[in-house]
Amino acid sequence: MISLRLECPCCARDMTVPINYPAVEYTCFSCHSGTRLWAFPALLQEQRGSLGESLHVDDESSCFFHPDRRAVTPCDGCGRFLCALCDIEFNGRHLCSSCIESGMKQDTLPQLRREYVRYDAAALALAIYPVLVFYLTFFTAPIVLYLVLRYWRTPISVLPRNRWRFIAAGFLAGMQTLGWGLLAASIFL
Amino acid sequence: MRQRSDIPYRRLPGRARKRFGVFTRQRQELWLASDHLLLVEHNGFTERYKRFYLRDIRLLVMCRTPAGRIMNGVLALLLTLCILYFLGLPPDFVGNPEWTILAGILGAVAVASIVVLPLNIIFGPTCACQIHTAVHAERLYALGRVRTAGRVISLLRERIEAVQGRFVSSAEAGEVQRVDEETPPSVEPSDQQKQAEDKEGNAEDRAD
Repeated sequence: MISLRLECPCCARDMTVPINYPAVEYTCFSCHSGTRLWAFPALLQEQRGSLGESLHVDDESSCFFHPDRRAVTPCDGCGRFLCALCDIEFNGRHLCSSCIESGMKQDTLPQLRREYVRYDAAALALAIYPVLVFYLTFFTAPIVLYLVLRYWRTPISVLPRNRWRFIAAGFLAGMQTLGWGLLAASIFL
Repeated sequence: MRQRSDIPYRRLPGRARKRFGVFTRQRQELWLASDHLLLVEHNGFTERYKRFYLRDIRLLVMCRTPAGRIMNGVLALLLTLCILYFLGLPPDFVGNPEWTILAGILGAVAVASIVVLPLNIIFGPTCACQIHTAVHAERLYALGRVRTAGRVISLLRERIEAVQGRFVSSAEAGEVQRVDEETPPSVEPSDQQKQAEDKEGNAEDRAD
């Protein structure tokens, strides 16, 4: 039997729950809310990293980062030899930590991307909200047009999203700019 | 040029604001890929992602919360008070500006209650869900209703079990356990809580 210390999702009190079946029902002793829990085999697996084998023979390849450890694979990014400790399996590729770091910085590993700025949503909000105080659109409409043109080709999300917000924002900003242009023309001409 | 992720994602039901999300514009969505669950947190004009790989998920927890019932109670109380107020109004209240303004405000409250109360009843009871990995437990605010959470969790269980297999306890490894045979285990307070409660009890005894 496995006993786990869990935090109740309702009252945040810690409790020890024995888990011996795939689905367990229990009642929190503090808030008395009925809780259901589903366990998966990963619960039983101990996750320990391997240090890698020591190098005993001189003519064996050694790890680039740990010269006293035997290399098990080359990095698929930079080709350096890696020991079991340095080898990071990622999406079927074997990479070293520095390649992953540079991939995150250069945005070449989209699976590691943790945040996107939604320039399309920002542009649309900037095109809509200032309409309430119409004079603000004199300043915001060019900014919206800049955002639309500058970030049109930039990925906006890892999720399948279309660019209707950019189109709507561009259209609104275009209309606002046209309105200001007509107003200026009517005053000066 | 930057690479764009071409991972096919499937949108899961459930979309809710985080606590105080009405003010902070924070809301959550869940998307499922072939090998991971993507938790998307919208925070104004940014999207933040947390990936839970199906092979790493240890537990899914769903706890029923009284929030829905409390909300129903509050809305029903507001509606009753508004109705009682309107029943007690004098027939010529329209001519009196104070009565009219108050009646307008309470009318708006009553209309909001009439709209929200049935919706809250239709959406069903509320719950709080968590997902656990070896290093982390994350609250899934997107799964705020029992019905939605049940659908999503059954789908996730199917996918996780396809990757990990079925859970068999270490003591009974080799035997196939049926979910039908499950019995609710006793839940005991953790050691730390027992110690804390003992200390509190001792302190009270001393004070007495």
